[in-house]
Amino acid sequence: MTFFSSPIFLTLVALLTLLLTGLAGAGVVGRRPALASFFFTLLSLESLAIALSGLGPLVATSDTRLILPGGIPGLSFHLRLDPLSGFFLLLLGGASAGVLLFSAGYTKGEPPAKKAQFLAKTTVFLFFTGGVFLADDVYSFMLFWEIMAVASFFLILSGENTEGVRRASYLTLLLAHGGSLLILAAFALLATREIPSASLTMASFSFETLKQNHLASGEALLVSLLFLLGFGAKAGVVPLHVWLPLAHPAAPAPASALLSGVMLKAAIYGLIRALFDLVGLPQLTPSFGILLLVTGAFMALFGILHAILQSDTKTLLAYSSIENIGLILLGTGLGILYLKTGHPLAGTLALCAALYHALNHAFFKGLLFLGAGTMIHATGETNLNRMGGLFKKMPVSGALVLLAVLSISGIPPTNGFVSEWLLLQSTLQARDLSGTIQRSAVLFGAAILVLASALAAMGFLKFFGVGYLGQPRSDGAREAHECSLFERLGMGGLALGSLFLGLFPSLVLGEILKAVSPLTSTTLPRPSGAYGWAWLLPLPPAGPSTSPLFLVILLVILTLPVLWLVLGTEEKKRRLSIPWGCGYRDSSGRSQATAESFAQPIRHFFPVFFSMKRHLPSPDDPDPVFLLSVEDPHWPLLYRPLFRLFVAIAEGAERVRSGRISIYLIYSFTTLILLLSVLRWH
Amino acid sequence: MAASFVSPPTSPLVGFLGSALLLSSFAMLSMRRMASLVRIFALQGILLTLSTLSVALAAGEPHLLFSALFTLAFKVLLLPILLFRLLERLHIRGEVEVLLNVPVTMVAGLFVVVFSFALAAPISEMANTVSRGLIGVGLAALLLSFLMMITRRKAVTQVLGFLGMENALFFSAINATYGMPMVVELGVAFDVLVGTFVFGIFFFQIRETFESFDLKHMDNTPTE
Repeated sequence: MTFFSSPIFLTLVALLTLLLTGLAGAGVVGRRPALASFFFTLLSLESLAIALSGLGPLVATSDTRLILPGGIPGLSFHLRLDPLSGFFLLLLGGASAGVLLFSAGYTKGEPPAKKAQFLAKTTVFLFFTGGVFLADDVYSFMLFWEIMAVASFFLILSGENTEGVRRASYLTLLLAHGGSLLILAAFALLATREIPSASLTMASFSFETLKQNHLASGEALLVSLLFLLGFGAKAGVVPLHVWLPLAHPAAPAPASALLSGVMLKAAIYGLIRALFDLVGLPQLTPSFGILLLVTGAFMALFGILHAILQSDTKTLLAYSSIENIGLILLGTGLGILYLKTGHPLAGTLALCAALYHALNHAFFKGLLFLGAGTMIHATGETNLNRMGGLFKKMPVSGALVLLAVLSISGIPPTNGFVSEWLLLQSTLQARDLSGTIQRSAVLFGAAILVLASALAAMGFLKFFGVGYLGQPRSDGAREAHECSLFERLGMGGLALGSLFLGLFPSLVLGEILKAVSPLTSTTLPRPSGAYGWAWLLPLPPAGPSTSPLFLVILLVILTLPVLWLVLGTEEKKRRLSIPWGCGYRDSSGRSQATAESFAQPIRHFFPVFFSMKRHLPSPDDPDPVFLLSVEDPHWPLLYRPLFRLFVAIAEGAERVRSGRISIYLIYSFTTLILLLSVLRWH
Repeated sequence: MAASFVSPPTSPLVGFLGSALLLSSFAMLSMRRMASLVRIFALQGILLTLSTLSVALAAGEPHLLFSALFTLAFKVLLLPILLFRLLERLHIRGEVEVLLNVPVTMVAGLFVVVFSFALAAPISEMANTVSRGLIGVGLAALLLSFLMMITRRKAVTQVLGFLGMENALFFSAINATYGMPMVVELGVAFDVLVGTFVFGIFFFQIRETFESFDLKHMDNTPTE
């Protein structure tokens, strides 16, 4: 294989083409806005090329490196395309192809300058996220990571120019930078453990050198924790998640689809790369696995409970992203726990399930965010309580959203079902664990996993039921219209991806295994036999198995006669009445169950998860006001006290402030002289 | 104490350039015209370039050649041009206004130089570079520039003091350890460039607001 046909070179070409097309497009579209759709379609095809280039190392299990002679002497970009990077490039390319196609329709009404900006922002974001997946030394990783973070800041800012949007993007940037500092600290610790700092060169920061570390167990834990917090700030790990529910609603729909679908996964990639590859599996401990598992389980429950309570479409989806990231972390933690207690097969399966869920989430959550975008565009409303009855007006996009809703709820035969089933199967391997605490932690995780998926079904029943079914709840919803062809095509692309991931799980699992097995140095036995590809058998040769394809066929065979019976015989007896009418003849949408009423039982059963303020008017109140506000408890319990502390410290420091610049300079001059004197004549 | 004042041997050329740099710092302290200040800053840049070049050749450190090139581009060409254009566009021709008169500042500067040489003595002993005798010169130049920032009243002079400090820092780094890592050096160079741009924008803002560059307008003394 020559250099010019090596997978990494092709990947770089694909990424660069995307970037250049996007920037060229941004230049052209400003003057000729009609070309925007053309450029978005072209970019979408180029994303598919990136996905294909990511598939390369998965199919051929190759591992190629490239050292780009960077612009600065002594600092070249180390790049590497291994199956894990390939997997995440596949995720990036696949999800963004649909989103970019969708953007062609979504940005139709925008002014040309805004279209051009959006083109540039998205491609820069995608290019550098791709760079994160390829980076093989600390310098290039941090460079790509930071530019990705800044690009995401600008993506959020491309929403409306309001105070809320500015606050959300600022908070995102703040937490991203805090996280980057922690990541940098972890890298520094990792690099300086072996080599005395005097002889540190830039070469000691390549990932290849970092892997040679021999950390003491306490240091390994510290480094892993720093990585968890650092990447967690970008992945939305509770309690560093507060930017997520603010940022996703603030950004335009395609941007939030990319943030949730791709950027959160980049953080997951960073975490997996750092833990399994850099810190190294031998240095991890089972207790860190349990920590990840418990964090993930808590996030899953916390995220989905808050998601159910939201009435704003995109805030609901954002909290559900926290849930899904929680499930991915749960799988990762489970993997570490199994691998470190001598159950490599179960550990490999858990990690595969986590990555499978990451891939699925990119597709169905991307689709849901795009769907939310069409709902918001069609009605001019963001609150579910002002939508309703959209399914009749938007049958195609509604059906696609329904598919994503089924998928995120884990209903077979969708892709969400496959990954959650795999996660559950790997938790059930806990019977092999010997420690009581370990076993009960895993079983606790399994219980939360089941609870979270059931609650997710409830939350998305609310999302779909209140948004798409029933009567229109506002004038905007009454005049809703189906979205444009490009938007439907983009959503359709993501839906096709979801369907494929759901119907051919054995094929997909086989590819994911190629990304996982180098990390765990274990491979799962693959089912043999004629129809092996149709049956998902997590741990062959025995054990539980499932086949979504078979389920679909069964489902069709079973439902067709029922459908025929119902439509054929009940048609004549059909009577027209108002849905959600509750026996009243009132046809106004106001009498339907509201989004809040769907969530009331949850609010009632899990009050510890929320910080609620409610005011119930007394029966004889002449001017009754019913008030209820639900807030994320992290604001009143963690963040606001923290802010108050900072302000108090700042006000204390205010006393030495004289207000004269020369005095300030004298302060620093005398401090400098004093410190130097102490250093010299201590 | 007294013995530590004796500097280790240094090649005569590097030593000459170092003393010229120290002299130029004193010249900055005593200069009364704004344009001459910028010229001295450019001169400092030339001195820095030459001393970096000579250290690079004497020690055989090729990466210092890049540093010399960057210094030439940034501190001799780009920044002085920017500053001259700034002075021209803001119509600053006048005298430098001082808070502390020049002779007193010069005497204070002498003490600062003695202090820095005493301070640098142990560092010079530890360093193993060809020009380790000059670490004290770098420190002295740094503190002198700081002194200039304290004793001057106009905002533009403060910027020049800041840039002078950066020059001295660079000089010390070259002499103590053959320069900082390339990344750090580049980072600092960009920071200084961006800093100058920001200062430039601020000057326009200050003039818009106060129609003067006197720092006393920026003081925020609470009114009782």
